[in-house]
Amino acid sequence: MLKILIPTFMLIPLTWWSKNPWLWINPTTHSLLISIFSIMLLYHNSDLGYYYNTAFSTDSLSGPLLVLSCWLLPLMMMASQSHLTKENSNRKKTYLTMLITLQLSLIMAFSSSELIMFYILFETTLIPTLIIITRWGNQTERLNAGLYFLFYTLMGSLPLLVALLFMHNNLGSLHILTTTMMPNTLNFSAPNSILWYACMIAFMVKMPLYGLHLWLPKAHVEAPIAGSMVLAAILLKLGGYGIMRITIFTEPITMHLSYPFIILSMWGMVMTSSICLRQTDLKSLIAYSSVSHMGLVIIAALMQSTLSFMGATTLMIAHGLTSSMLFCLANTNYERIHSRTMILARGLQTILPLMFAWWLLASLANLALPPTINLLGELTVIISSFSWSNFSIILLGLNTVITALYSLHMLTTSQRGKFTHHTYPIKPSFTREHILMALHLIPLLIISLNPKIILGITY
Amino acid sequence: MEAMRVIVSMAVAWGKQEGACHYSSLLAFHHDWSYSCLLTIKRQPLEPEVCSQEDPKAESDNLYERYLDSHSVDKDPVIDLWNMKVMLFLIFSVAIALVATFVTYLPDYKMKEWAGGEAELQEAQSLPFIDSNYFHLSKIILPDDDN
Repeated sequence: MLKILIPTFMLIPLTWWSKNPWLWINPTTHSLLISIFSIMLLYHNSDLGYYYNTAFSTDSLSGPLLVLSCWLLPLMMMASQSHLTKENSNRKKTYLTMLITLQLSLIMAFSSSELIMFYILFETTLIPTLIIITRWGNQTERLNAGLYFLFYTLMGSLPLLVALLFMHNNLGSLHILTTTMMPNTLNFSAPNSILWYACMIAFMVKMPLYGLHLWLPKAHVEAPIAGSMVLAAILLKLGGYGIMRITIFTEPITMHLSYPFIILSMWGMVMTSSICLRQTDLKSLIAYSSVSHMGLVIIAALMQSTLSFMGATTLMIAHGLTSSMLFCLANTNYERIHSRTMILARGLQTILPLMFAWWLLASLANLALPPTINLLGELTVIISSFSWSNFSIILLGLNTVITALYSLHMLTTSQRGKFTHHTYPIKPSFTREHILMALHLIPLLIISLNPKIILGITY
Repeated sequence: MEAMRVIVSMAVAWGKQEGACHYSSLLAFHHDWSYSCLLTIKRQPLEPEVCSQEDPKAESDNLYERYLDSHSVDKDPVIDLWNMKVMLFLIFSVAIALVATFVTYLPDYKMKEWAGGEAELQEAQSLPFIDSNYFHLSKIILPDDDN
């Protein structure tokens, strides 16, 4: 683990001591090299995982998420280059340091083998993200967005802290390896129910569950591009990862208490997909689509079957790459017309045909077209929830249809049709932007050829 | 009409900072409602003043203006070009190639092939595929029950 942590930490002095012409090139190149090293985390030859020392471990659930977050750091840096050109050098370095600190805490969070350490790093990821949203966001609503983001997550995670300390007291250890061997006797009673809710609420807010999702459209929309990318791709997955880890402790009560959350998730999926159809703001549409996809992950994670865990992990990786790519595409629009309204930049297929190719592929991935892993994940979750309850297929099928509807609506509104007179003088696409899109899509397609690496612990 | 002229003239007066004479002439204007004070203000040709309230900064820098082959990485053409070359090399020839090779040739991921081989061995000996005992019972040698 240190071979990834120490280079990532050393990116901070690299940023501060880089001269101005080298300021972007250095951290981007070095973080790309780090992500090449992180690929070794994908090698698993057993179900147990690798325990490097008492603090750090990886298994086939955290490995893909770690590789995803390492891969995204150079992409975030490349995406932020253009909107930061007017800032002075110290501010650019601060921005990069925030990204690198966030990356460090994410790597440690996903590789932590003890749940208290995971909790501390879960909270640590809030601070750089808050700074990125509130300082480098573009509109005045960013302050409100940062507040919502911070306090929703904090309100949810305070009960989690109490619950974790209580369980540590009772069980003696919260290490993942030992607790999988311990007998689970959390029986169904009122105090145990409160303990279960305390454990779950933080991750439900983070995912987000439908009723607790209000922070997400605000935070995603107001954040700058790197903030949106990291929020959509990784930070939401912290919630899913947390659910899958903490349900080891909370058997057998989960099968009784997960009903309200599963129902709320199913309903919320359909609701947020429908809201997507009525959005005028492009980033807001992508944010609500994230809520919808994460609803599927919540259903899968709470159903606790082997197939559903596979679907949850696959969906997390697939959605991370797809959603981040969609935010990058929305940002290319925003940088040209300085507005997030969808209809203001329409008919872009005739003006920027190569970018249309990326838009098309991203929208097709978003609507879970075969043979992408998005389809693999969604279909696995639908199959496993059908076996859980036959009626769930109505809502899940409805969600699939509406997902296809809003993805195509987004594509046709922004790309097809006649362009407006103020659209055609926009600048052509830059190589940097094409590289960004390619780097999101190529891993997605490579994984589609060989999806066993992202199928998670139950494969 | 007169009100419009008053407003326009006041705008002209405040827009052109001419110094003390301009302020006193405005006071005179108010005092006796005559337009003669306006003659004291120097007439400068009106420059088009585009002042958008929301975006006081100038237009964003068009990188294509300076350098037609801009890759949008840096303003200096040489650094831009070489940075893009280095990035493209590292990304496609190093990162994606190495990662794809690593993932393709992962040895026996999660020991599925080994498990299949073991199942075939058991099938050949017509034993059940998996037993609830981890070891063969015959291989466990226990000491005698001596007190």
